[in-house]
Amino acid sequence: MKRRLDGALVLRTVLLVSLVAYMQAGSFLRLGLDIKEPWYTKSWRMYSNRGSDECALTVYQLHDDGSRTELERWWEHLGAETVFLAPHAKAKGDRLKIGRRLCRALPDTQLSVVARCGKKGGFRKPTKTADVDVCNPRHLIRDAIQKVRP
Amino acid sequence: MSWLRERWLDIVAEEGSTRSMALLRILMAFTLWSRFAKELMPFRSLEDPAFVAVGIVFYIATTTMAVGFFTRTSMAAVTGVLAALVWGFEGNGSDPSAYTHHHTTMHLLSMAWLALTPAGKSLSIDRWLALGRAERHGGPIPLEVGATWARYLMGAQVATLYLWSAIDKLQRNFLDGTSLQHLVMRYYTGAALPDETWFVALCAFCGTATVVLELVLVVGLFIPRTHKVLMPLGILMHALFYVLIPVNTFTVLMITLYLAYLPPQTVHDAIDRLLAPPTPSPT
Repeated sequence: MKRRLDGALVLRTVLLVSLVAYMQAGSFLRLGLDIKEPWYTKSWRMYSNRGSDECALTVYQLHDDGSRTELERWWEHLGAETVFLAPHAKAKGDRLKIGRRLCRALPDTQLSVVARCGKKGGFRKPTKTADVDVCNPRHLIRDAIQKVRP
Repeated sequence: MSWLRERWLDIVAEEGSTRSMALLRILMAFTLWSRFAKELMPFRSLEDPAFVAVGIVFYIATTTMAVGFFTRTSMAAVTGVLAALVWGFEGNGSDPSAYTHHHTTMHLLSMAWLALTPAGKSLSIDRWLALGRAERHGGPIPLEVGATWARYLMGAQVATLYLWSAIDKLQRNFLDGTSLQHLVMRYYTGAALPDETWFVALCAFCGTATVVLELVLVVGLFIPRTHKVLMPLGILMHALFYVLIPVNTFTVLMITLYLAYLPPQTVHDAIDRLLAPPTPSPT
């Protein structure tokens, strides 16, 4: 038997179609057309760019013969018992802060720190600091001069 | 066209058991308590009478919704409270954008669609009272049956979330795992991000797999014969989200909403089976 589309079913049809369209509206405007959605719609945005302000650090031990070796588990020298307690580096400047803390923890060593910072959509190029001894005040002075130089 | 018309009528004219809607109603109330109860405690915002009023209505309406007393009115009131939070207050002292976050709006929209269902006809005080009336007047026992078309709205809401979430992630940096590496730095390793090949490959795999699974779930969850495979995969994905990143009540809300995809009679029969009287022991 063929079913009829009575008034109640027409109303449900209109409601279903319009509400499903409403669900799409905010996200379509924001993600499809890159337009800020109006207040009465809502868009879905998942973890876009979360954590992109963090930097990953690689620490090297510099040797007198000009060679360098990676300092494994460097965070342990800062008192972090596991990698999950390692410090966060939120900007390139934190490379020096963490480097200096390592210098204090490992006296009489020459260390360099390379930062690979996140950015929207990926990672920035690693800093060209693999041979810069952060434990040597002369390098720090040179860095400071370069910062203020126009 | 005739086939399409019949399928569409199957949706809008669906009459089925209301037990799955009732389960959704109860679980949704628990989820809302978990998400909002603490911050809506009236004493937390005595300086803002409107917020106190919203808190009081929240406590009363979610309680009556959970137990199924004046269920339609309760669900409408809860929807009103959530709408007031999203559009009227937007945030609270500790997080100014707490109520405009997409997780919060997901609570609101799911609740709004649930309010269109006859969720009070099962597992509720309303039903208890209806049974009492039927017994007193000698009438037939009221059936746990109602128009369940609005469950497709909840399904569409979940599918919408997956669709736009996947579209948002269809970028090289998510598919190659870079975005996940960012998350690992933020929540786990800080500056000590591993750069081993296996780790980079794992992040790329997880990023791509998440997007592929979300896209499959958009359509697949509407097809009952895929449920045995897709529902466990979806639940596993949300469980991993819950364990690995701070998503609060989002995981339990999404898993609860999966009930909307199940044919109402399947849920009804499952409850019957669970509650069937035990067979007498031979001894």
